[in-house]
Amino acid sequence: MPAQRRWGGASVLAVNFSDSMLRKRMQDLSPSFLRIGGSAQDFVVYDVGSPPDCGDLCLSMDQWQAMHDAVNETGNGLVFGLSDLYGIVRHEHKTDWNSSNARALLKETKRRGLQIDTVALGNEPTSCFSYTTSKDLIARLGQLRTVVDDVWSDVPRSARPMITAPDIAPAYGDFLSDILAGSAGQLDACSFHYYDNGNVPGSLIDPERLDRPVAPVLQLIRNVTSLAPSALRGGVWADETGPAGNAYLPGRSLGYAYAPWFVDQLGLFATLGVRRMMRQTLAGGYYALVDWNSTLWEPRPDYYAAVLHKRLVGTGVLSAAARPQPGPVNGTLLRAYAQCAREDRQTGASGRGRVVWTVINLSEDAPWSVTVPGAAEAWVLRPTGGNITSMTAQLNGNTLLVNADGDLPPMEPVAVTSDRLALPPLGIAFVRTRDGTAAACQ
Amino acid sequence: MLRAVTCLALVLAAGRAVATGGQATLEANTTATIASVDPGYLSFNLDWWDPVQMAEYKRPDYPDGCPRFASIANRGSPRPARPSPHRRRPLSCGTEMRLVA
Repeated sequence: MPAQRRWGGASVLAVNFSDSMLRKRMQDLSPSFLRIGGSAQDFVVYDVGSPPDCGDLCLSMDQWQAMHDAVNETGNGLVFGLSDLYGIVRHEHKTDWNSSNARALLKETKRRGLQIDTVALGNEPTSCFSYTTSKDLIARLGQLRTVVDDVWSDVPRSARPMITAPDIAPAYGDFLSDILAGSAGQLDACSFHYYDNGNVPGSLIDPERLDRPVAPVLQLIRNVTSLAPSALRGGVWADETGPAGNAYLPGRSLGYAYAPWFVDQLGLFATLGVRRMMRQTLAGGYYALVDWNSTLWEPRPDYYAAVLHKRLVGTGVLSAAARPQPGPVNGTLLRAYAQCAREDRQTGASGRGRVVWTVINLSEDAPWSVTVPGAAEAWVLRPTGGNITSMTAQLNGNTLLVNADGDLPPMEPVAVTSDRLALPPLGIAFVRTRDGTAAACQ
Repeated sequence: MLRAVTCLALVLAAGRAVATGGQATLEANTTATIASVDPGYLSFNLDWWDPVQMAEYKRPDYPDGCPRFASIANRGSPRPARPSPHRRRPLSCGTEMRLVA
């Protein structure tokens, strides 16, 4: 596949934000946040105020406006990663961030009446792209705080765009601690990136590998709690996380294999206390949620999982588990999470008092029979043909495909009979209780 | 007879395809939440990557795979002689960083 097919039409610089298929895909995941970011963000110049160096990575204000229009009109919010390398030319010993281009962009944004939920500064600053030290980043965050407070001086801080950093892996504990200690008054959220799930299907359904983020993320949250206990109104976010490192690997989409990893990490991170989880990517790269090279931006199996999660799962997180009985199947291959239900936008049914379980069968060949507490309805995904890398999924036995207009198919539940849920190999179930008796979800 | 053999073979094949299943029970403490997420908890990214960068990424003069974007942003930042003091773990250069446990 030629390189331009990997990202060409999906690059932020090139994407057509008026594209009806893009908008359908964004709308079906609302309310969400669209994060614009990635390694190249630190080399983007904003074409406002006539910057002298707006080269190949130059964001026009027409594209900026189009991005906002798409975000707002699909019911979403914007998280925008600003460049933290503007003005820095190390071999000329220019090491201070020049905030003028970011300030010009944000002033223009305010002038146009556009909304930004959050601005981030710098993408993976410890990487070989940036070689930024924590001291440098702390200084830059102080500058950005001044810029945001100046531009939005007419509204209280709670109404200004939030600032998040440092967008690195949680294992970089020293760097994170430095940033939290040095920027406690500047930051509104602490964001990290997480990729460690490998590029082969087997690693995406390996329970040990799925649990790897537990220790570093818990440590990060402990650091936030101890170093910045009250300042971070946004909390801790995984604002870039994907099934496999590097967008051009493994050279093809792994299709359904991303779905169990994705649903598991959504449950796991919520349990750990992560407030937002932003999936890399909606479009672009082999791991995208949609096939953006297709005319209809055909959703991949994990996109359908995302839609179900968005429709069903609410904000309250419960302590939950699947208790396997001794038997022939490895009990670690069954994973379960529970959250309060969201109000059903399809039917208008209240989510009050109801619980939604996400149950994931990581076994490629063994089914599970799962006892559900009380009456419930279920949406059960499985790979078409039982193939872990299938490009399509079935929901309750029906293959999921968009119609000729690119609209999603009906995604109806089935009743769980006799309190027993049949979960096929590689099955992912969203199970919503019928009664509204969960005290935590009232 | 042939039909019976075929039927037996199909049954055996089905038995291999779907192993004996497990049984489990779902449990949750529904009296209190342990955490709360944003309504927009599940969110998504778009990236800046484009073909120019992809080509840059593969330049042979960056053996560790790290582009300098010199031809893109026209503001090259030569790699320092020594790594950042914060580069304490191996890095994967790209759109994202992988955690190396």
